[in-house]
Amino acid sequence: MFDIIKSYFKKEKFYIIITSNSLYIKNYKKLINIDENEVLVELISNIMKINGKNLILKKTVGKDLVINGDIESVKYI
Amino acid sequence: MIIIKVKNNTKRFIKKCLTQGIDLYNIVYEDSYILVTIKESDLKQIKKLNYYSKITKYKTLGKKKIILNIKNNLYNIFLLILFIVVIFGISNIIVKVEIKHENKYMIERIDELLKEKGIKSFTLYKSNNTLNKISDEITQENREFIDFLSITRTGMKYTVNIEERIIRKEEETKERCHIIAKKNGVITSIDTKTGVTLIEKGKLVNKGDILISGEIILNEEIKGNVCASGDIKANTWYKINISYPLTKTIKKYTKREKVNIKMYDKYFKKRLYENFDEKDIFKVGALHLVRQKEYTEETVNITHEDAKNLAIEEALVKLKEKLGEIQIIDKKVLNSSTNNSKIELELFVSVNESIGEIQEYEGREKIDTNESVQHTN
Repeated sequence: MFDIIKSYFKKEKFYIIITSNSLYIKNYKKLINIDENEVLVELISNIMKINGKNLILKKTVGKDLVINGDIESVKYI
Repeated sequence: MIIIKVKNNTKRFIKKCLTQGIDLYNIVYEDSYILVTIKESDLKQIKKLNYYSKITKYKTLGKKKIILNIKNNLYNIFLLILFIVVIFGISNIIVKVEIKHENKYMIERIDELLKEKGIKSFTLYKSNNTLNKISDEITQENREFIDFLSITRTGMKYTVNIEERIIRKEEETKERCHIIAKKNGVITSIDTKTGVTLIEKGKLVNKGDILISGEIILNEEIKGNVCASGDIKANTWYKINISYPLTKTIKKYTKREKVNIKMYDKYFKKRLYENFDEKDIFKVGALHLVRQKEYTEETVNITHEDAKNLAIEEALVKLKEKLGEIQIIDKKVLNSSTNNSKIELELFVSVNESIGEIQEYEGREKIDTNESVQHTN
């Protein structure tokens, strides 16, 4: 949490937080696609691909996004 | 903030919201619908954009929810407040002030004094310290007739105990008196305290006879004088004439009864019945809930024998009222006749009663030898 507060004050452009069953993305550009096994998120300079099981969009407020589910992998494409 | 329920095309709904930049604060996925937390101000826009989905308001959150709950439950909240006020009233309001004393005049007087100090029905209760202070003040201010006064609280009632100050007049001491017979009778018991007894049991005495003498005589000399005292009982007799009607009025209850409210002898429902008996069901202070049972009065004939017995009973009661403490020894009907639906009796009654009364006398130096000697041992 301290890191989040730190990054907020630093006004970092982008970061993600991965927990055991959720993924938090700050400052995403666009949610390209979301289904149970794959989520594609457009960031400022590239696209993030998230693979997993039972993936659902939990929250979207402003430019912040929360995905719940079993996260298996996260990579840039 | 509100929660909306979205049915049909939920994925399209989410995409549309995302592209339009509408914040979705929480999404809960159910089998056939989703529950989404949004700002209430976004609802209109969401409904406009997502016309293909069925969108309904599911819940209100935050301050608005509280206000809505209050509005919906206003009646219940009012009842709850009323209940609390009633409970407060029941536990803190005094409904009765009970003054314990035999004398009605004393009770009224004390009641007025208490009212001046704020001790009355339908007021908030006072602390024990205040009650003690008030009782001390009343006692101090009214020393001439109050010896002691205490006020205690029991539930919704004040109980006031008083000790009256009784100033006894000093009895005049008589120096010389006899106990004489106030009526004719046959002596049955003698209880002499002071003086010389001049009669014995079984003796017939006449009115005016000296029963206990105040003169102390020894060897035909008057040694001293006292005021004689004692209790002399004798069998006396009376002839009583009494008449009694051969009819009596009885109450016959109809099956009609009603509940009424009464306060200070005034009824809420006026004149329900002409003749009725009343019984308290419930009361709080001067307010009574009563049950009134209607009855009619019927005059019935009674037998000669019943009338005679009732007449004798009434005669004896009146005799006791007149004479005070007496014991009825015997009664007999001397004559009986019927006249104009009445029975007339001549009754002979023998009673045992105290017949002594005090008579003062002038002292004398010596006994007159011509007087008949009345002494008995």
